[in-house]
Amino acid sequence: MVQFHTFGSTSTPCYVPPALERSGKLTCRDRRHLSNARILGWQGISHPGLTWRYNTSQNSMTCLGYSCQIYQEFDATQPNCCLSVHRSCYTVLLDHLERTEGTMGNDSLMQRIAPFANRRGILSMQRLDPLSINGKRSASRGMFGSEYLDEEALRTGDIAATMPWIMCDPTDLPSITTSLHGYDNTTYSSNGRLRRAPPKNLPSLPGRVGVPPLLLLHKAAIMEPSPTIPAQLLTPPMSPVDGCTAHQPYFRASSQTLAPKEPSIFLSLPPHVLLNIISYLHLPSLHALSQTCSILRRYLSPESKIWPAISKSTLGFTPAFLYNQQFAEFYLHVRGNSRMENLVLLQRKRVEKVVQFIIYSPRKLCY
Amino acid sequence: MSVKLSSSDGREFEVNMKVATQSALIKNLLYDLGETDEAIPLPNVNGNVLEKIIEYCTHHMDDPPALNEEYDDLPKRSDDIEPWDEKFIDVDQELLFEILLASNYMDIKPLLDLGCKTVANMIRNKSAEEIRKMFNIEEDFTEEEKEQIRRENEWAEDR
Repeated sequence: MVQFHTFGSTSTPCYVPPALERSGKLTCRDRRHLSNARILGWQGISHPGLTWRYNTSQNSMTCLGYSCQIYQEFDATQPNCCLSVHRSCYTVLLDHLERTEGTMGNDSLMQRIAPFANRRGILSMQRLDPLSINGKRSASRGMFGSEYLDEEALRTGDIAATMPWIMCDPTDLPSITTSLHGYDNTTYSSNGRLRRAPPKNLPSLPGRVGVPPLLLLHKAAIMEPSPTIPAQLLTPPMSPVDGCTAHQPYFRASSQTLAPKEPSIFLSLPPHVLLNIISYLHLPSLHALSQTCSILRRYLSPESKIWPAISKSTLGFTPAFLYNQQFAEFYLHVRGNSRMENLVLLQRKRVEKVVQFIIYSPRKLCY
Repeated sequence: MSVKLSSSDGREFEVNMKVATQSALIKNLLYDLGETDEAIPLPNVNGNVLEKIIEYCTHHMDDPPALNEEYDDLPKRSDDIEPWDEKFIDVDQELLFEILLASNYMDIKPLLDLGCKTVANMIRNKSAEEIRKMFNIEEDFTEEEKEQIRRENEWAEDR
């Protein structure tokens, strides 16, 4: 049995270790993978966080679940809880809500939703509930790989290894009946909100909590495609065998068709060198640079940790801010504006003078 | 007094001590090991790049030591490159990045700064597409991200 996981735009097929062996730690590559929706399946695009397994007997890909435990807040025992993830999903969600709720004047959807998302872009389904209108409920549902469940493994009890997982995916927001077959422990609270008891008899993997197999759910509800979600995000990647001749190993085929591009030397520069280069740039260039690729977009995002370091490197001064975004705003405001830069330098000199005074005149301070 | 340097491709260069010690790496090595007749191996630097670096260090051999950045009175600028340096660093991009990496490895700060300034000047006044082409950066945005970027740019244009 072969497991594949594809990463980013290089599309290089990678072996995915069994779930039990997977580490919770993320490599840089994983991070890029997870923060970038353009995750290619074999030849298709899948949701970024999903791991697929190739089923040789059925020549199909089965969704195993999220490949990394990045979605810490996701708790499958509370089906109303969490998760979304992805910037692309977020956009899809916004579009969906815009359609269902209409425009809301100056209160943009973004402003309404932003408080419900954490810094990873994860939206709480529970919190989103009040956003549903006209009796429509936000429900999560499984979408992936139900028909490919490994029945033999189920019979032998090796569920943990093969169980597909329900993804409470925000791309799933379009209304679905809440009384899913085999999963009718749905109740409503006094204020009319949707509540569900935790699912029972769940398979367990270390660090993960499972939910009932998709086969138990109403097939129509599972398989019904959402009109608002780009199909490419929900489509399982093509199996490795597809597109290959019977005698041609798919590894060879993949390496031929999906040959990785030569990486950019610029992106492989050591971080401090890249930071040094960036420290010479002003807002327009930084803006252009941030629109070149996802790595630089993240690197130069307001939440990035580089801003205090750049501020220190360029102005020799790091103001006492709490958040990286404040550093970014400060730096971009000052950098390139000679009047502001001079003010900052003046302030820095004053601070240095005070520090020197304190260091070299301890007696004066004591008395 | 001279020192021998050996590049990754086996080429040996005999250089003046004053030239060699502009590299903090070599300076520290010589301080730790003492004077030696053996060539100091530089496995991360090939002969062509080392030749360029020696040319730079020879030219700047008598420069006064750089001021500590912490006490610079002006913010960093990239338009203050001296004419000789500008001509020296006017090389193809591959060699430029090799010099950048080698100066980082050999810890030659003025040369590293020169390389960074040059790269920054290459980026300046260029669009994202031009930067991508210049540095062979692959655009890996999703359709949604592209849309987001388009909106950002629209917003900027509206202003």
